[in-house]
Amino acid sequence: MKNLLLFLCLCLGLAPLLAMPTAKSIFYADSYMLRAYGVEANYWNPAKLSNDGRTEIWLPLSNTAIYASNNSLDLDTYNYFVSRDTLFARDKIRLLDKIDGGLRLSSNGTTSIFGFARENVAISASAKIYVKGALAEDYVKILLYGNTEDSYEFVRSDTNFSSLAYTDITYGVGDFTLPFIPEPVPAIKAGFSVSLLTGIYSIDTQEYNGHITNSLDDGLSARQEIKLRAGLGGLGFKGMLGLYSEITPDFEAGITLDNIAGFLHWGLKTEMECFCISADSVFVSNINEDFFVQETERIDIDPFTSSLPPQLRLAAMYKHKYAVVSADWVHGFKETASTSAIGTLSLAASFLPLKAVGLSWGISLPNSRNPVRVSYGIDFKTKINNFGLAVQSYDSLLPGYKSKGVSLGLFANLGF
Amino acid sequence: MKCKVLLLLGVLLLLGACKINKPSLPVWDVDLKIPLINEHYYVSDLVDSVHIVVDGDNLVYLTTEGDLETNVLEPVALHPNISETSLPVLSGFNAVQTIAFGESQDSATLSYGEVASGEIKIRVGNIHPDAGNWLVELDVLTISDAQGNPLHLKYTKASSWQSIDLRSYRFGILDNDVPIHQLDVQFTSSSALPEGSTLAEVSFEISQPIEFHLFQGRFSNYEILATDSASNLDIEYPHHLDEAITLSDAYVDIAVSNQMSFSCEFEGFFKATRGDTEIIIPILDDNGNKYRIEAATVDNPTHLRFTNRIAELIQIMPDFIEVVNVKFTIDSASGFGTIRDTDVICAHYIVLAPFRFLLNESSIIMDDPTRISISAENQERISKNVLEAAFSLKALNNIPVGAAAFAYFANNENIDINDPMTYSFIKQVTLGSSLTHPDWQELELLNLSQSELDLFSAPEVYLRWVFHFEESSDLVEIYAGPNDFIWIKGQILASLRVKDL
Repeated sequence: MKNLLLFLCLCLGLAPLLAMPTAKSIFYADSYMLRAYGVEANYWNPAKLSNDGRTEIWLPLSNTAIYASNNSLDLDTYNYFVSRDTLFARDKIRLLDKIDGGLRLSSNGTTSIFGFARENVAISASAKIYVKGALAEDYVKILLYGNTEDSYEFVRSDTNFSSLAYTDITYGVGDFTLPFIPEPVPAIKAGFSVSLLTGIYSIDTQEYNGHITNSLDDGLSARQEIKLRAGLGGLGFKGMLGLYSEITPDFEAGITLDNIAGFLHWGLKTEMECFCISADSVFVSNINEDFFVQETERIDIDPFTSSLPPQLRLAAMYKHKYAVVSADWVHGFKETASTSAIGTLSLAASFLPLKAVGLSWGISLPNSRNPVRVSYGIDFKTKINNFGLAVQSYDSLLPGYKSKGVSLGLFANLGF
Repeated sequence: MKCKVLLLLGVLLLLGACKINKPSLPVWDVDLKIPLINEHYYVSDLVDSVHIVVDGDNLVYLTTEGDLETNVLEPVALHPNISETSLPVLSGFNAVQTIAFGESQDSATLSYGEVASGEIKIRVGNIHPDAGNWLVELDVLTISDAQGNPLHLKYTKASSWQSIDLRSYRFGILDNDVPIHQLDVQFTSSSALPEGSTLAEVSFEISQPIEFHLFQGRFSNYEILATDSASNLDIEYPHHLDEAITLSDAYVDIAVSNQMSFSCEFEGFFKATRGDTEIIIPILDDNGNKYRIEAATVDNPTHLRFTNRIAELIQIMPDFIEVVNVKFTIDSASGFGTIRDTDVICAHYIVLAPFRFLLNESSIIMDDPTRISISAENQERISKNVLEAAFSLKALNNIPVGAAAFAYFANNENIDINDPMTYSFIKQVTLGSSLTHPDWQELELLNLSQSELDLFSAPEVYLRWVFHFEESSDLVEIYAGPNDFIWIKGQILASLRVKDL
């Protein structure tokens, strides 16, 4: 476990963030919209809040998930490099081949605070933290080879850092049947949820500009300038609207629009941290102790609002005698710490080999930002509780030395 | 099915079973390009306005200068030699008589003079016995006091020799160029004797020279010597240039300020010394004649340019020049003029040698080694992290001088370039002259191996430069214009070992 934590720390960092609403979605690689029920439907599709007469309770920390990944290094590569005494040319080539376009790392965490669902109503609270960032490939090249090029340019899209932490209190109502649906169109259920968000902190890179130039005429000039916007203490809101329909007794389809009117307004303490280090026309012949200038400035700024752009999710699920398969397509409208503007398709299947034991498998197909993710889970059911454990591997079918990241999900609830 | 469950559990536990090595930073090498230099080294930067100057055409000159001044003048002394000249005084008769004022032994002819010292003796005797109460008055018309009144004496009885101090008296009339050849004396007398009878005799004597602190007149040959102490020049050649070059020519500009209203002839010799080598040349114009200094040129000094044989003098690259046996001669060609005992002749002279020279095949060894202090932190970095370093240099030389620079590195300051035991290693860079290399020159890549870099792990490193100039077949001229520079660009190419960061 110590090693596992070490690997998680290694993966912690900067990269496109994947939404991770609840711990149990880890079990299905986020193909979970039509599988969620009870408290979880609050976050995935409130239309699924149903009048089935059950009551469900979430306990603090009982639904917890953590995730860390990067786009470049798998465990095998990591082990290789940290066990080398010396990096030779072939090692550098291998490392740079792994880092394609830049090093991106991300980490998320979510945990339940409480949850309650009965009939078609649910109220819940959870806490979430997102961290992501990126480091331009040229930085790694400089680190490995030195300044072999005459000019380097760095921009925010390649080098950045952001982090966000907040809690939510979400209230959802569902199981409404849409009126005026003509026969033979199947009934469409609707639901909605609203979340009151309490911001803990927010850090994001507002500006990042860097260059390093080296020439015989102008000497060595370098400038690295970063502006980090930070907020402490905030309030916000978001809403979710969900629809689903049992098209046939075995087949369901649904759609949700999340983050409706979503925002998080930071006002308790807001400031801009500006850091700049620069050197201009440096030659060894005229170098002195003040050859570089380092400026750090922290200024209070006006309260600001972190937008939570809408995110659309489409899903379909088919129930078979032996398995339930599903597919989810999620697409954010803007790239932020919590949404991705590139669509992601997830597929999942679940089995019930035993009455009280469920197995799950899911895969989130790769796109230009995210590697493939494959999930494996197992859960156990009793009359009053349900708990499970899942692991998710990044860029590898099986969690192991080729994984570039890992997610762990643990869930437990009480139902009666 | 139970097997499947067990298999899945195994998968879940797989990650936890993975071995994750403890992180430790490996060692690797990186290559850094560090700009070293991009500098123009202008010839004009050598111009210090003291020993190196430029003219209007930007030609560089080596120069040194000094002052020359005549001795403090003695008052002009005349020897009229008037000895017991007796003149009769006739009773009741006013008459002007003359006394010859000769300058037989002097080269000067007085027209007007203000006496600094001197005396005239007068005696009244041979009084006629029947003269009764008598009176004799005399006025020396040629000699007057400061108010212009003639020297006046009055006698009523006989007197022996009486000395009259002539100090502050004047001879003659100011600015009147008529020479004084006689003293005019007017006698007035009265007595009981019949008019026209000889009443007495008055005798005059000037046996001592009369000195004039202001003299107007003419000289036929009057010499004024220069002080010796003011005419020596130490020449300091910057950067030991005298060891590498032979200047082709030179000249001396002399500005003479003459306070006398006499023109005069300038005579003297330049004596140049370099070690045991000595050369003496007379100061003569291009025609072999002595220079002549104009009269009364305090505000407008006489400028002389002395070029005759000066090249002989400068080509030994002297380190000491004296102007010896200098004298200024006022002669008959000087005409009428004035001289005061405060007058001097000053000369400011400048030796100018254009940087037009032959380069010798010789080396300039800088006297003092350059000390490079290296902090303990950098010593450790160099020792631990620097594998090798190289200096990549290129240069544009717009100066018609090429040279090879040798850098002798050591960890002690007693670097003897002839004793390899006193230094660690040598590095050489050769820069061709603009005549042979008009474009950018890629200089040899200077590599420092790891063993050579070890020298820099000491607290102090000493560097002694030796410059070896290319011998030139023709004269080389050095200018200090805006385009006369050496432009050097370079960078350090260093291989560093990244470890123990």
